[in-house]
Amino acid sequence: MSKQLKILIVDDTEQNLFLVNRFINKLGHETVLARNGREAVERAQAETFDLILMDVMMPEMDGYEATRRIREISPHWMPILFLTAKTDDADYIKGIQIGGDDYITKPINLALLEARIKAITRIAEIQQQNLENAQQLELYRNENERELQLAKHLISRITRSESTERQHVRSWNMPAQHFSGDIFISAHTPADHLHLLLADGTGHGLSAALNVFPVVEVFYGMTSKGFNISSIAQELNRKIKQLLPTERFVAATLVSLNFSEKILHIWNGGNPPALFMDEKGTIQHRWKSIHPALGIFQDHEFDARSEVFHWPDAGQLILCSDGLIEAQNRDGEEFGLGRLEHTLASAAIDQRHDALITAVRQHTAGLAAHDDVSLATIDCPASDQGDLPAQKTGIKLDHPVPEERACRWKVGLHLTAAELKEIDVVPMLLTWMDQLRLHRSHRSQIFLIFTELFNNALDHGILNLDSELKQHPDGFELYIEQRRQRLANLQHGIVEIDLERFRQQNSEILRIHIKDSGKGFDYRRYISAGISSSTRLSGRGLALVRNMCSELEYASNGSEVTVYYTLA
Amino acid sequence: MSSIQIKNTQENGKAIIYLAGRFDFNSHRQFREAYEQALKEPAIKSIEIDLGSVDYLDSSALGMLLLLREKAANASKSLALANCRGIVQQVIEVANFNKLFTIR
Repeated sequence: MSKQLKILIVDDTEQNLFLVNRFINKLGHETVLARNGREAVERAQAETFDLILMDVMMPEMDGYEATRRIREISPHWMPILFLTAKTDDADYIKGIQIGGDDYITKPINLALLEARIKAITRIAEIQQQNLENAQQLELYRNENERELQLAKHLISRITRSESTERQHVRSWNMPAQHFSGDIFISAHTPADHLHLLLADGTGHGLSAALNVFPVVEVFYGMTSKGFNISSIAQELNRKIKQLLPTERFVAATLVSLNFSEKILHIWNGGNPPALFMDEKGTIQHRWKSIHPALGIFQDHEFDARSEVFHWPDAGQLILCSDGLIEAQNRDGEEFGLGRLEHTLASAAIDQRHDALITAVRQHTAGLAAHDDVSLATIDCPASDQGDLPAQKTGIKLDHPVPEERACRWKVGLHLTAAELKEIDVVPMLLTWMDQLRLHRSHRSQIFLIFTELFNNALDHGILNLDSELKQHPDGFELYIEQRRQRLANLQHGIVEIDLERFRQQNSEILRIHIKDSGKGFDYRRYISAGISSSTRLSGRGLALVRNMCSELEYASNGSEVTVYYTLA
Repeated sequence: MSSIQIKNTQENGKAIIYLAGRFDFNSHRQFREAYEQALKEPAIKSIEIDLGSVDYLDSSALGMLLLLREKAANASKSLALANCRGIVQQVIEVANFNKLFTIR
């Protein structure tokens, strides 16, 4: 038994009405009766029917007019069958044109009526199914829209994309879909180095945005603790490898900029070349991708080594994702690296960023991008106008520190060659400081003090490196390379670190003592160098440390150093 | 939309999968069917992906190659990429896939 229909029967002849009604009821359908066109319109307005059987010739309003009105007012499609004595083609066509669906001629052949009703039923069922599908689709669409909104909100919060306005840095992103699978984020280390990350997840849209999720927290967290970009790259790779399926990965360029020393470190895995262009428009350096993207190699296969560059003259660092290089015009021609370099070189240094955006927009001429497009330009000035980390001139100690003192806590660390090769020591120390609830306002200064003293012990004491090397052209790169080699081949060497917090008179004091097994170094030369002599690539740090601390004492020819830092 | 065309030939224990056209996410199913056939055939010892007629590949294509690399290793079959030129070669180069795949 097919489903029960609700059928409106319209006829001014009681006999016909009675006959048809009884027949249809017998077929198991529900009926509603109307005696003229006007009544039929009222009924159809009040409720929907699966079928309307409409007499044509009626008083007050005929079947054609009623059909026309029903079609006008009803939002639902209701099949209408005319019941008529008229049989010529012109009438037939008129009825169909006005909105009828079929005809049955009088006197009514009941078998034919039943067949028509069955045919109509089938159409009605399809119609109903379509309606339900459309409603379902609308529901999905709305739900999808809500989820997209939420995801957008979350992604912008997690990537903190609204707060990336920074001195020296300009960035631009053009997503291929709702979501960008590219992110560009930046943060300062406690030593005020600027870390940048341009990451491009496989594919585009929401799934690509999800790919780059895991990198964000790692980047911000490790940067704030002062880890270098090699350590960050290593951890990002491990994390992405662990979280994402094999076929998903994240191309990334990581950069660390030290504006006061004019040095940058860079790691590029899978992104187009990063460029350093001077004021004249000459490319001083290209850092091609020399690593596979993040999340491909196992932890032990991963090469986290960064490249280092010292910029002697002002210039600009330019980073982009492959979506920019591969942006196509109407003829399918890619924007290309050549056009990128030419556009940049042809514009004045402060116009380059905008000139490139304009050129890409002109090239694509409003065509939808295949992939997310990202660009970042970073000004690298010849002299740094930026602030040094908040400095507090060390309060001199009123009294000599006695041997017997009120110690609050004490930590000692003894590191040998194996650890010195592997551990990023300073961020580790800083993490302890956080655990020991050292107030955050001291963070960047203590980070700087640790970094300076520990690096001196390691570089000059253990690795026996000479800072004079940095004064030569390309000296910094040579210095870093030598450091890398010597550290890799290191067999012997000990660095001991003692930290202690104690109270003296009314002051809270942090004592840092670092001792290495090396032969010492000419610390006097570094301390005497003025803070402002920033043309030199070394020596500034130690002078800075002396200014921040209450006391700085070298002993044993420079292989042992003690500082006292006043906390409160 | 131009899609990938895959021709799979097998002889002397070596399966060559020839790809042509745009190698991107839309080729996913076709590509998987092609390599799974080669992976489950015990007589096949090595698989070569011939990219000579591919005129575009994107990062999801690279992902599919990585997935195949893992599956081939699990099935103890060797894998190589062949005839990379033009844009394909550039993409493979930027991705440093020469560190991950044998390139012929």
